[in-house]
Amino acid sequence: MLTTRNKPVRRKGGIYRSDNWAYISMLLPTVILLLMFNYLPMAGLLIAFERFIPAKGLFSGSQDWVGLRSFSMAFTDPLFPQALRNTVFLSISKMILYMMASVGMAILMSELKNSFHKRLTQTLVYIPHFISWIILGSAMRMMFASDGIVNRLINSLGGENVGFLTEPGPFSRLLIVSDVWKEFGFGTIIYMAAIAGIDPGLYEAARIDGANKPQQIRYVTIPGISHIIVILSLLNIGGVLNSSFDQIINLYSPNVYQSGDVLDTLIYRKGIVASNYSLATAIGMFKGGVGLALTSLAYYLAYRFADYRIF
Amino acid sequence: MKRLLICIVVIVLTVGMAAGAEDPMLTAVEAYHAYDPIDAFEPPIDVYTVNYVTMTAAEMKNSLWLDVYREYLGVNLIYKWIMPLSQFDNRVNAEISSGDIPDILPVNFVQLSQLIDAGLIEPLTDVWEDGASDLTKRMYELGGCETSFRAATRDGELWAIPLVTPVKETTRAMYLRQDWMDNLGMDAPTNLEELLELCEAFATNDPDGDGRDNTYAIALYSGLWGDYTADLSGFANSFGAYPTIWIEKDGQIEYGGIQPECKEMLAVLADWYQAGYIDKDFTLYSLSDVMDQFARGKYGFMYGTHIAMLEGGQVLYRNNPDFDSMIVALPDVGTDGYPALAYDNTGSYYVVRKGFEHPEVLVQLFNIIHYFASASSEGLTDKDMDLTWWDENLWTGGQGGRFPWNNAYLRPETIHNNIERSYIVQKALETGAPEDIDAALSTGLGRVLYEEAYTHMTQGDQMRLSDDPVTLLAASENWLHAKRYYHYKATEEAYGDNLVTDKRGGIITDSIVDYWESLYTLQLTTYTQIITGEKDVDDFDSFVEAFYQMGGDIVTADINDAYYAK
Repeated sequence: MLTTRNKPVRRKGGIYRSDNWAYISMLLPTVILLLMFNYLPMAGLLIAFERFIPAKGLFSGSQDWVGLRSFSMAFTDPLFPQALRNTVFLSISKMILYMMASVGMAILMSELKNSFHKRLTQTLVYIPHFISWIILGSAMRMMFASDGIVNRLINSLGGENVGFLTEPGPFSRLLIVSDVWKEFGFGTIIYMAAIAGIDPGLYEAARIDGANKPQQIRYVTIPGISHIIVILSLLNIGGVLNSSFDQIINLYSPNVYQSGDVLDTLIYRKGIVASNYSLATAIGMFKGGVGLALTSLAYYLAYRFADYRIF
Repeated sequence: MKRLLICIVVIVLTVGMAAGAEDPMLTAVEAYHAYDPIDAFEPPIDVYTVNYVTMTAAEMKNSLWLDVYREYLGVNLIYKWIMPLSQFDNRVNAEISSGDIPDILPVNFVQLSQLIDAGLIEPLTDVWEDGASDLTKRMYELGGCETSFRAATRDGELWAIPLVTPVKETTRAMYLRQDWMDNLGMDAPTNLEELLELCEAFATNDPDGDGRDNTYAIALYSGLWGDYTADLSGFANSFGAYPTIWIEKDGQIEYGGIQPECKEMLAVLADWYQAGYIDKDFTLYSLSDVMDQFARGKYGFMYGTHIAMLEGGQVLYRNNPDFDSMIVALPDVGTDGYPALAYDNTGSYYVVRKGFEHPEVLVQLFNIIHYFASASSEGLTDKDMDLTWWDENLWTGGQGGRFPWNNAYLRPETIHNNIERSYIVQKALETGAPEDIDAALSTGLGRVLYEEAYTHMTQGDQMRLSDDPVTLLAASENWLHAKRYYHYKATEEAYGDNLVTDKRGGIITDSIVDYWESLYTLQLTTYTQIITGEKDVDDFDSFVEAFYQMGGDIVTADINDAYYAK
């Protein structure tokens, strides 16, 4: 470090700074992977505008060019509006509930003084995040079946059977709650970090002013992390059309398509199952386009209202 | 697994006999060349192909069959890749779009027509005419392969060799819980009314006698139909409904799934669901889930092909010493009733890459497996010699149990000649006459079937009560094979030639690609929702309207054009 300081350094900053090259080269593998798996395959978006027949080759130029036909097919498909509606509804509900659950949990945990209890709780709420939906899905199918443990409990308490997995209404609620249950523990990490960053002097001052615990939370903790809440919520907006594919594909059935079929599962059925590559690509591209627009909007809003910037 | 265990038993018995002989493979090669005088390639040529997963990749690449191809034909068959069946089509699509296909490639019908259009494959007319042995051709004829060959033909040229399942092996029978019927003192249903009565009794009269209301009538799963077991289309057949195929009606091709007969069937199912005769969770079950439930003794009957009792039934056989099944033809179906549904019997089409120097290799691969399965019963070879090699090495497990049948590159169902063989074996078991037994034992497959059925008849009960899991497993295998005869008997007698097949056949149009997935989803959703009471039965009519509005009219018109243009 000493040598660097003695050398005349051009004060240009960013990637032009000579001592940044080490860090940039560390970034390289990630960038290459990103290019290979996220950017290069975009060339395949071409097939959204073709009547794609595999035997004619991907870039041979002999595919029939049909313009926006696949898009109009997609938008007039009666399953599309249903899937779009479900996607948006599920994502937004999950986002709101997820945010509330994570923040609430983080605040509760930050108030825990016993560190063993704290760590135990933390671990217990994280664990579901690491279980794959394949496993969780089959466990849930057993638990929420009509003769599963949950319905038996409801019956023994005198309630009627609920078709969690077979009726559209309860099914979407199950999707939302189970996804939030699985992920909120992981979300608390960032909020707990934010809470830890609040100046303890503020709490002290609040206590001296006679604030009790709820008032401290109301007037110190929440304002202290509101910045993070706003940023994370805004950044999540970009993913509003990404619904949890892994979860739904493992739980849904034709009976609940009405409330559970989302864009990702529709693409899967059209593209992978039915081999209608053009249509699936068109829907995927639509999803990507909306995602790009929303992400840009979110970054702008984050910059505007929370002074968050990436560049 | 089960196969292997039985195989081991057989090997132990036969290994002593083989030990003293010369290298049986060389003898068998000589015999094969005497039968089919071809020059094996010397040195062996490399032939590239692909396959889907039947065993582990290592087992597949180490298959005894690959040795056979090398010794007999001088062909090194090399797998370029091996994929799970669920991803196979997509991987083949990727292969095709890269333009670089392997020498021999199994494809589906859509891919076949695309390959012909793109000029990527060799015509096989002459290769098949000159190269296919009489035996192969005869087995194909017995299997009823005409439609498959017609589908593979364009502009007077044959472009692929179809892998065919004999048509009559695709028909459905009804599988009933014999023990439940005995408990209730009821007989097998012969018409729809009796079926409904039986259904009620199964669901409400505690047929398993455990004093709890835990039984259902019919086994269903979320996919509803199309597979070898728990198949709703068998039930639909009794209503004259064909929900999965295109039928000819008043000189027009129409989709079976929108006909009023289907509405009748759905009304019955909806009533059953309401009354609790159907498992409330059937919409969640995959095929293996429903088989698990069947194995727990939840269901009274189901519909399926001759292997319907594979897995679920077999497990139940081992778990519950009282369990037995009764196999009957579908009520109201057959020569005096509605035509029986026979499924599309073409598995895949084998094509040869354009420019591959030895297209005859493909046909030789077909010849060799047909030869092994049936040559001796056709009097083509010395029976004893053939059996020695075939039984000991290929069919029944062979050297260290290398799983021959699953490992064979080509597995045409035609080679089994199941129906004819079942009759021969059954006759031998019934008469016990030496010449009948001789006939039954004259093929490797016949011998396996005879031995399994005979063991079931003589020692089945005793083996079934064994504490030893291996014996128990073998017992269930014997039982399964002994029972298959009843399937053929029931269906052959009742259906005769009164069969109906999908009129769409191999027709594929742009409109099918564009609209079919949505239409099918709509059908599946509507059917399920009507059964579960989520929708009213009368919503069937609005489904039919929606079917036409969503492109069903275009698809129907296109299929009619294509069908009548033929």
